[in-house]
Amino acid sequence: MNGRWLVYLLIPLSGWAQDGERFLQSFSSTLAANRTVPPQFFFRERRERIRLDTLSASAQNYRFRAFNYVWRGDYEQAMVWLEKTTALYPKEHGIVGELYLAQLRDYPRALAHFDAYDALTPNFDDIIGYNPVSYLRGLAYRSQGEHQKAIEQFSRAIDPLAEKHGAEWVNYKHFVSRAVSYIATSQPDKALADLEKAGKNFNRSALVYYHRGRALLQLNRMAESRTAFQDASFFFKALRAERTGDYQEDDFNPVYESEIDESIQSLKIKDR
Amino acid sequence: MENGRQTGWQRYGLYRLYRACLLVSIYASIVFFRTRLLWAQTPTRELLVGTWIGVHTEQDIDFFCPLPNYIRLEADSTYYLGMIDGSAQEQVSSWAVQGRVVRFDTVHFASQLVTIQNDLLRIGKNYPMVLRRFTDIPVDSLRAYQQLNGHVWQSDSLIMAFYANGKVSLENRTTKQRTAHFWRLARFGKSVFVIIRGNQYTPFRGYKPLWQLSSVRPNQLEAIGWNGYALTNERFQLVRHLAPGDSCRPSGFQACGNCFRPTWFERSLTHGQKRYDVLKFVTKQYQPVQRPGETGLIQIQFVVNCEGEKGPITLTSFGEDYCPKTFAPQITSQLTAICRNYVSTDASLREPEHPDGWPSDLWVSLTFRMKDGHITELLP
Repeated sequence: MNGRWLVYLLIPLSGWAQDGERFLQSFSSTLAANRTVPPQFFFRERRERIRLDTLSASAQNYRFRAFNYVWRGDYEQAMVWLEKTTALYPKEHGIVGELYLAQLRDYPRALAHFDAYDALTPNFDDIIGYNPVSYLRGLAYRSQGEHQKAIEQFSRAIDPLAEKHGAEWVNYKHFVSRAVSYIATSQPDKALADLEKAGKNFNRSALVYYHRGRALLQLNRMAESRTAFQDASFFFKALRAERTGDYQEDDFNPVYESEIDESIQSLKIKDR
Repeated sequence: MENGRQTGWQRYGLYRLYRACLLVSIYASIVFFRTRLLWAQTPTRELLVGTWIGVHTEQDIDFFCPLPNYIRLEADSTYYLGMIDGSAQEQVSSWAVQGRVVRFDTVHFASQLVTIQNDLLRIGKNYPMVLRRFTDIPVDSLRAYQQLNGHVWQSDSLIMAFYANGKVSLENRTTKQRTAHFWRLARFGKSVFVIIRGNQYTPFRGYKPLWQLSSVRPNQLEAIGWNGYALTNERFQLVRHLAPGDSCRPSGFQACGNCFRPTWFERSLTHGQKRYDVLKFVTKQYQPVQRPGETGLIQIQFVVNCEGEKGPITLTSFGEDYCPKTFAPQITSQLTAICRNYVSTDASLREPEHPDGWPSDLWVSLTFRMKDGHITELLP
């Protein structure tokens, strides 16, 4: 009984002290952070807004300002600044189109910006970040359910590069994206061919094995399909252990552990 | 005419001389004040020596987090860092002023990063920390305790009710917002500080601004501290005695942390497995309202405290052109209920980041893209 009272007495005191120790640690960290003057005020919206007001007019500053509105969820202002940026600086059409595609999921606007960007240099598949504009255009079509148009655009991005330098120079995610559209249009053989090439470029990809499982399922090759899903499950767990946070191989082709598990489970049920 | 003109020139010459003298005197005053200002902004070693009481860290222009600690800078270059309430072992290091560079512990601050103005020490521009010069004011702690305990005190900006069970409520008289915490007195030198910390559930989880009692009289007390608007010597009047049945409750939603700003505590539900779970839950629960024109974006944001208590919810919606738009209540009420129900059923969202940490307050922001009353996308 006495020991219990001692525990009750010590818990609040130790908590009190722990809180204080934590605070001093946090004070020292903030003190150290204060030795520098930051170029931007991340997560300090009001201070950052004042800083943005002082920036000179340039493509980078306009774009950054627009992106800030997107991050804050002020979509009305975001759209105003995104359009203003591209009107004044046409080379920004590419990155703005990518934002409409990836963040705002506004596919018609994304396509309009991709077309405007591509038109800047005729007869050339312009690059946005690491992707040709045709690939991003393919993703926008695919997201609208227009798989045939998507396959055309993906092929424009993949085939010339593969023919010129070899399939090993193609980003494996590009093969996966085309394979997804092949599966959606019931062309599993073509999908398997693309996934084969994708697997050679990254042989530990859960994403590749998952879609391989789906393509094999369309061909009624159940045993191989189950093996592919099990491989996907294995590599998903292995990659999760390697990476921190909510790791996603490809944001444009998300694959979830539950989805893989459900696929394995449904095959088990069919076997019974 | 000539005389007149000469007189004019002479007059003009005198005027120029007068104007030059005036400009010189103005310039001299500016230089003098600028020197004073620079002197105030570049503290000398002598100015820095002393004890500095934490006021707050300016996390943003409109958002401050209290500093319940002190730093003591001794003339022999010893640097002490400790908590006013003695809740942590005092840390000892050294400090120095070398030219225009100030060093606290191992951290070097370039010119203009450490300033003193009106007895306020300001450190840094990234997360500016403000501390005030400490003046020891002897106060009888027993008398102070008797005065506070079981009483309600009111100033122009605050109402503080000190309960005998160790709880305290703080009410902002302008916003009428009341929060619940725990209180105690702490002796620092000969001074007495009112320590207010914790939340409605526990005495831990951070502090509210410190109050140093400067005068205690039967019906009036004065205390130095941050009243939410300024650092003042706040005058409180005794309002009433607390009745035995009075209980200490917040006026509405209260976060568990005392330095809570929604966007800093965002828990993303739009990536990884959480995204899959949310989408599955929403797809199962949402009954599409087939209605042409119900197209655009619906953004739902709300807070949940560490105990799962839900705070106010905001719904903002935009049309296809991103201009503000109102959606049918059959759609918005469904989405609001689904979001709140999902978050309240998933306790893992409030789990602490570290095994020995506290459960988290959290802020959720979900944006749905709608097409004719159907959900087509959950924005990342």
